[in-house]
Amino acid sequence: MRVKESVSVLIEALQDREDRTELGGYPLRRNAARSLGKLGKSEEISRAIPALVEALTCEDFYVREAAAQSIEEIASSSEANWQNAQAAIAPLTQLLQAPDAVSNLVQPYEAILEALGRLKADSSRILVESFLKHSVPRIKFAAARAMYGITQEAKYAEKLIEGLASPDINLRRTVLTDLGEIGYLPASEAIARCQTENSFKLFALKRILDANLANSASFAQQDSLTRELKNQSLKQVMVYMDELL
Amino acid sequence: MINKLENLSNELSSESLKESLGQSIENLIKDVELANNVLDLIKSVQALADLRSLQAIPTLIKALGYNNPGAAVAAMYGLIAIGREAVPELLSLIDNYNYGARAYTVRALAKIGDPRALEILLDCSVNDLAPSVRRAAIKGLGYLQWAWLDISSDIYQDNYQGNYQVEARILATLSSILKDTDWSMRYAAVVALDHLTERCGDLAIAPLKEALNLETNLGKDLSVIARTQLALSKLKAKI
Repeated sequence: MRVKESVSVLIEALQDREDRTELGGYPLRRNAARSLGKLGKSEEISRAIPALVEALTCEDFYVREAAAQSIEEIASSSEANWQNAQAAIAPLTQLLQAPDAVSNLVQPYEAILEALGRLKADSSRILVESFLKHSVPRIKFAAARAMYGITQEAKYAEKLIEGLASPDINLRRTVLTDLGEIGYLPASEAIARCQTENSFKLFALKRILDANLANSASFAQQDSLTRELKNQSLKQVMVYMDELL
Repeated sequence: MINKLENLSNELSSESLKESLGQSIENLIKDVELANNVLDLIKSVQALADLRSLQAIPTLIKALGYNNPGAAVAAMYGLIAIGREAVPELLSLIDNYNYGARAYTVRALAKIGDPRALEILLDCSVNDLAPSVRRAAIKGLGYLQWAWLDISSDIYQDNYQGNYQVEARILATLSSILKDTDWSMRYAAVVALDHLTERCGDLAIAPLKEALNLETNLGKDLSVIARTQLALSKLKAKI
């Protein structure tokens, strides 16, 4: 009930014209867009998707970024919300279409790519793939994460693992979180060894463990050898986690 | 005759080795104190930590309080490697006013596992503000090295008389943490209980079973459930 009211108020706030910064930004819209991604997994949230899609065309960069992030969060909150968020694929993809996109920063590419990966947007695949060549490493890795979401091909997750050795600590933290988000079990050892704070590594390994434990429905159908191997690697993840406490 | 000469030369070279080592420790301590940029500071703390020398303990403890995570982490791992010899100074020099330094000190004490740190670990496992310090303290409660207890200590006397009140306090604290809202605290408590089954047997198994019950119905965290099941399955395998 509270969620229902909040969604209505926040959708209204996404159209606000009064709260403006000196440079023409819309602070209230930014906050409304951010909040819509944090209301949990009720299907009520899906009502916000058309308004968030509209916000993707707002002239304020930070409104567009917050909208793309929230679409990603809504899509990951439940199966039903994921289905409903599919409507955002075309408008998100459109934002990737600038001719010199691989060398500019006019759109919130990181957030857009992550949302498309979460939505498994197969139709945007070629465009997403072109961002693997973006000049900014952060965006390159976001494209790798998105390509893994779309194709489930290991080679894209392996690109993220390469990022764990980057000399830039912020980049290491980003790819560490990305590998946790995609639940990529073979990355566990590289994560445990990465030069970053223990808490970052602990949380990434936990996401991987959770993701692979949740898959145990399909797990029961596999043969006993595959199951045993998977059990062993999950136990190993817990050994790494114990070490990081 | 040849043997005698060999022994003599061995002694001589180890003497000169000791002397040069002593000098290099003093130099390294000076390097840490005089470092005037971040990179030099981290490098010299690291070099000092690598020596695992008792002489380096006060300087390493001081480095825990520098406003530089790289140097503090290097110093912390150096102190952990030195182990129980560093404990009295860690306990007496604990800095209650510098929050960062205190966090590294508690993490070092938790990793070393000396029972003399029991009170501070019990306190920090529940009351510390930093999650990383709490997690380290909680796990540390399960990994205390009981064999290091001094015969004159209260804990030894308590154990000797068969009371095991210290273990009861630890288990009660860990049990209360099983209801924490943060999954990582509950996970750390399960890891501690898992290890404590070796020392406390049934006394630690009961809270583990309770942990599974609580987590399945209340916490519902998949990772905590899996870790609890792992602990319980290890017990079954032993029987």
